[in-house]
Amino acid sequence: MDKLLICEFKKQKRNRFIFVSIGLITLYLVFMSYYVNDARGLYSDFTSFYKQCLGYLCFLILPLIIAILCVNVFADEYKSDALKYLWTVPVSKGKLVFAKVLYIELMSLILMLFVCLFVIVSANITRFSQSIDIHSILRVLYLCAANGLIIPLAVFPISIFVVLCKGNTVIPTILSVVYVFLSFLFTSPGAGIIPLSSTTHIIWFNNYEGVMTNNNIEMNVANLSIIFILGIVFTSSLLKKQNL
Amino acid sequence: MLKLEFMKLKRSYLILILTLTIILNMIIQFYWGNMTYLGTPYNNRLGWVFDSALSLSTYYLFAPVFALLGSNMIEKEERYGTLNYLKVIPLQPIKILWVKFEATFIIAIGYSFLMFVGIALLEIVPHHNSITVSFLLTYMFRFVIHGIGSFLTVCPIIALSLLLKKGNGVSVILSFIIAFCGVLTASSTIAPFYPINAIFFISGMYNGKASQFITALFSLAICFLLSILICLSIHSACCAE
Repeated sequence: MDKLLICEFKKQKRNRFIFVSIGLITLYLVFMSYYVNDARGLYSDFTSFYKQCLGYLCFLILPLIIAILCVNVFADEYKSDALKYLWTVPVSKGKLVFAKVLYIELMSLILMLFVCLFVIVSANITRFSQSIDIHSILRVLYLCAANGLIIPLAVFPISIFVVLCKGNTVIPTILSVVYVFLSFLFTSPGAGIIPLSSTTHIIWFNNYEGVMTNNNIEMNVANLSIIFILGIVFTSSLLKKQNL
Repeated sequence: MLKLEFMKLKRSYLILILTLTIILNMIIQFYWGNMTYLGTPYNNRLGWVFDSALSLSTYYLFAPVFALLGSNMIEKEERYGTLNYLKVIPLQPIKILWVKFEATFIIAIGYSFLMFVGIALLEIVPHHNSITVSFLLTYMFRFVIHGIGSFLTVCPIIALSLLLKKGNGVSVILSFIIAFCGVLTASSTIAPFYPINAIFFISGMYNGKASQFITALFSLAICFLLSILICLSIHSACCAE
C-alpha cells in the first residue's frame, strides 16, 4: 500500500494543479483577510475572523478543489492507456482505489494546514492580533484538520462518474460544481441526506462560534460513512468490470 | 469552423448535463419560492423567482460553466493531439482560438436564454393574471446580459487555460472564486469595477448612477481586452515555434 501511495505522489508531482490551487487559496485568503479587517463593525475578534475565513473556504472552495483533484487523479490513469498497462502488473484494483483515497486525504490535509498557518499569520498582522490565544489557535488547527480529513470523504464518490465516463473530465467536473453548489445551498435541509452538507454539521458540531448545526450527529456520520463506502465499492467494482 | 465546433459538441453529453443544471436551478427556485416568511411564500411577489434565479446563476453557475466549456474546447484539441494536425494546415492559431470563443459565446447566450425560459415557467404559473409581455422581455434581456457578462468575465480565464496543462479544473475553480467573491464585494464601493457585479449594473438589476454604468461597461471591456492580449501573446508564441 505504501508503495502505491508513493507512486501516486510521484505521478502527481508533475501536475501543477495543487500548486495552482494553493495559489488560488492564497489569493482568496488575502482578499478575505483584507475584507474582514476592513469591515470594522462586523468582525471584532479572532473568532469572527477565522469563522469568516474558513466558512466559505470549507463550504465551497475546498470541496471544489478536492473534487477536481479526485477527477484528475482518476482521469490521469485513462490517459495514454496507463490503466491498461497497470492491470498487467499484480496490483489489486481495490488497493489502487484506496491508495488514491489516501493520496486525496493527505493532499487535502496539507492544503488545510497551509490555510491554518495563513489564517494565524494574517490574524497576527491585522487588527485581530490582540484576541489571539492558544485556545483559539488550537481551535483553528482542529477545524482545519477536521475539514481536511472529512471533506474528501464526502467528495470521493465523484470518482464513480470519472470511471463511468472512462476518464472524461468535463461531465464529472460539471457534476462536482453542481454537487458543491447544491450542498452549499441546502446546508441545513441537506443534513443527513447530502454527504457534503452533513460534513459541515459534523465538523462544527457543538461549536461556540455561532454556526447553526443539526444536532443529530449520528445521522450525519451515518450518511457520510455510507456514501463514502458506497463510493469506494462502486468505483472498485466498476474498474474491475470495465473493458479498456 | 464554427459549425465544426458545434458538431464536435454534439457527440458529447454536455448539452444534456447543461439542461440538467437548468432543471436543477428550477427545482431550487421552486423549493425556495415556496418557503414562507411571516406566513407568505416568497414567490408571492411578482419577479421574486426571476431575481433569485438571476443572482444565484450569476454568482455560482454561469461563470464556472462557461469557463469549463471554453477551456475544455481548447484543452480537447491539445489532449487528443488534434492541435498538432491543425497546425499543419494553413490556419492561424488565433483563428482556432477565436472560433472557440465564438462557440462559447453562442452557448452562453443559448444557456442563459434557456435558463430564462425555465425560470419563466415558475413565474408564469402563479402569476399568469398579472404578468405582462414587457415584464417578461425585461427579464429575458437581463438573463441574456448576465450570460454575456459572465462569458466576458471568464474570457481571460479561458485564454489562460491554454497556458496550463489540465486547465479545465483550474479554470473552473478560478471562475468559481471570482464569481463568488462578487457576493462579498456587492455592497462595497468597488462593486461596479468588479466584473461580476458590473453585470448587475448593466442589466439594471442594481439601480446605479450613469457613472457606475459606464464603469461597469469599462470593467467588462477590460476583461475582454485582457483575453485578446493573452490570445495574441499565445498566437505570437505559436508562430515563433
